[in-house]
Amino acid sequence: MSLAQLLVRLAYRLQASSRYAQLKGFFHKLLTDPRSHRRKLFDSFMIALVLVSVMLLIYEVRHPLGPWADVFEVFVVTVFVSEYLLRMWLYNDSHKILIEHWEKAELMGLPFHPALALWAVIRRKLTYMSTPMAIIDLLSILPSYRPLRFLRLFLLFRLLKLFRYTRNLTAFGQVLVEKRFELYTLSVFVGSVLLIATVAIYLFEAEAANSKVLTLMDALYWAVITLTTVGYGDIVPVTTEGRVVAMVLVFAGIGVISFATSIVVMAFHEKMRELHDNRVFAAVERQSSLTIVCGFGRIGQVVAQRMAAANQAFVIIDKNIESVIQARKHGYLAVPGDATDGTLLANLGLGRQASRILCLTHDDVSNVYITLTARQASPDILIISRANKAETVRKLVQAGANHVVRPYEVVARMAAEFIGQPVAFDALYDVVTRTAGVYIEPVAVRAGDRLEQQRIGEIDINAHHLLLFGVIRSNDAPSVDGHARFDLAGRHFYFNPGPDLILRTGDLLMLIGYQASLAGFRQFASRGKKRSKGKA
Amino acid sequence: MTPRYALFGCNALAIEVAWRLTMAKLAFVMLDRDATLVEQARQEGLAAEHLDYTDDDALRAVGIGGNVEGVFCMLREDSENVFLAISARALSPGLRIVAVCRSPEAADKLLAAGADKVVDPYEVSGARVHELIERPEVVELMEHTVFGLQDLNIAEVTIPVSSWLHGVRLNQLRKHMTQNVLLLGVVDRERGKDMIFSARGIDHNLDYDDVLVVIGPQRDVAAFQAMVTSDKAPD
Repeated sequence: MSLAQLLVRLAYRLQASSRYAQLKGFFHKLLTDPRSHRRKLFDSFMIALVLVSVMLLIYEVRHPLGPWADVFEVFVVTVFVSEYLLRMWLYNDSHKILIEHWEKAELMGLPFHPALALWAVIRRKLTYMSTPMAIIDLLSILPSYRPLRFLRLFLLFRLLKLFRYTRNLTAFGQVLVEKRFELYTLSVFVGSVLLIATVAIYLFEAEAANSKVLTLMDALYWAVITLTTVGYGDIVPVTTEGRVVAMVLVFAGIGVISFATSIVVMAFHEKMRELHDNRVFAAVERQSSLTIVCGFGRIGQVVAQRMAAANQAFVIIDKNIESVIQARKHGYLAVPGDATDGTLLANLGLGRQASRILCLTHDDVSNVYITLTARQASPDILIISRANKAETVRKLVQAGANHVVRPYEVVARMAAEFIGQPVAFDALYDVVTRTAGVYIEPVAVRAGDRLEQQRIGEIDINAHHLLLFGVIRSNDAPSVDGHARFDLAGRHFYFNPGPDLILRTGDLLMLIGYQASLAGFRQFASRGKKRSKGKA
Repeated sequence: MTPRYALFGCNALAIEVAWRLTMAKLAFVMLDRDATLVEQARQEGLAAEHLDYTDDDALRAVGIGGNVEGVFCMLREDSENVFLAISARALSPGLRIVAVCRSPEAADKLLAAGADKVVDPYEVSGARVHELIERPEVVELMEHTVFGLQDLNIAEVTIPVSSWLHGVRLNQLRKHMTQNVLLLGVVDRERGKDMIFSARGIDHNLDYDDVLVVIGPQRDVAAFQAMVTSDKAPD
């Protein structure tokens, strides 16, 4: 068997192995998954390890440590090396690259070059190794290698590893990176000023009597101390020319300091919003199920209030920054932005943990667009959209909305229903909205439970203090005559069925009653038939 | 056909209500004092009329205080609706008044002005969205049946003074219910507005002026109504 065959076979075996996938999943959870609880623990452990190892390094300078310190160092390095290798392993799936190359070669009828495929694998790993974080990881390990002991200083790079485990530090680094042009300009300016000042003070002072500037290094040291407005006063110019240089340098120093301060302040100010948003994104990442609320107008507010009361996780997007501030005041997660922006929605978990999206902006065009974006990103997300115009309803359904709510229609329906029978309407509305203690709830008939294949007359619903409003049954079940039947978007609804209707698996009983009675009935139903065995 | 309901407003919301009433085959008259809005509603195919609602005589001429049973205050401004509700209530204490409010603060004012029901479009829509999240089956079911256009309706039947049901227990009434209606509960108006749920297990003693809340197809509801209002118990 050639090497190429061996490689490909190995790759396919890895692809098929569930244990390999499980193992990789475990380490993914431990090291990289931002939502995992284990990762948090791991991060804390690593932070502690870094801090202890650096503290030992400092302590060791004056106090000789026993052999256990070496053992600890070996342990630390082992952990670091394993982490480094694991991260490299997790970065991508090498066997997929191999398989891809092999299949491509097969498909095109070309010879398979294992060397090329391996090179592609290595290239990907090298890409990982050249990321800043990977370099820092490497630098924190290397100095431990004995011949490189002179690199001891680099052990301090371990502190940089902390960046990996805390988000805020990363943000700080990003600020500096983003302002690199300004910082570069500043450093060029500082460099030239320092150069001029150093040379000038050296020229004027080096030969003067009582002068303390004896070497060019003295001159540079003096220039730096003066420019930064520190001014120790250990070296002071004695000639008039030297003092003039000092005066000019002091003013230049003030300029440099204020420029530098303003750059950093500005950068943080600009970054503030993003930092805020990032916090929201991070909070969103931690949720396992989430609702995205687009638009924080009056309807959005009502929905948010209700969802907060029901302890459901949600995040708000609104174009209007004031609405966002208002939402944040209520303690809701909110980001400013245009909900038609696909990347923003993706950041908020669309296509991943977002299970619902509510398009509640007052603009029908936006609602249609968001609906379409959401449906494309995820085929099974629940989309509820608001339509202001009647014509939009169809467009929203076409775009993929599961439900459409049209405020005027809701009002018109309520008003028209109320006017004829106000008492009955209020009573039923209270039941539907659960304001009066009596609820209407679906109870599903499951295979093997006590309701399956039962005649309705045999279940004493009345004894449970419940009222059977009706039964919802899917369309493909044979229809039953002799009962009032209504169409229900692809399903049938048997209203108030008599005692003769026989329940089937998948039926939904719509029951009205107090919460306790409903809970009791559910328990009763799920207990299972007496004759069935082994099923809960 | 004399209109039983007066619908004030010719804006988009009012037009929506108008269609709803048309579909429910309820006779109504549509009114506004803004001539251009009236014209718009007419172009939609609705019989809208121009009327200055600030004039009590004009309101009387429409039938408020007369044969009009209910008024919809669907005007654009909350202040207009408050004014209309006050005027209508003054003309007829027994009138049913439904009003829409645009800002949440106006709801209390409208109730104080005499409206029986105030609907806040945003509040009810928000509630609806949340209901759809929490209990989609229930909302869909209600929308398609009771609150929809199929022949399944809620109805209230008030027990008249002469009815055989006066002094009869709820369980006994249930025995006589051969129609396909669901008795949701009873509102004992002497005790308040809350409904006594029928399956609660308390055998309520019915008396006249109690309101029976039922759900059912039109024909069965009518039959039930006839049974309740009759002075003799069915066999």
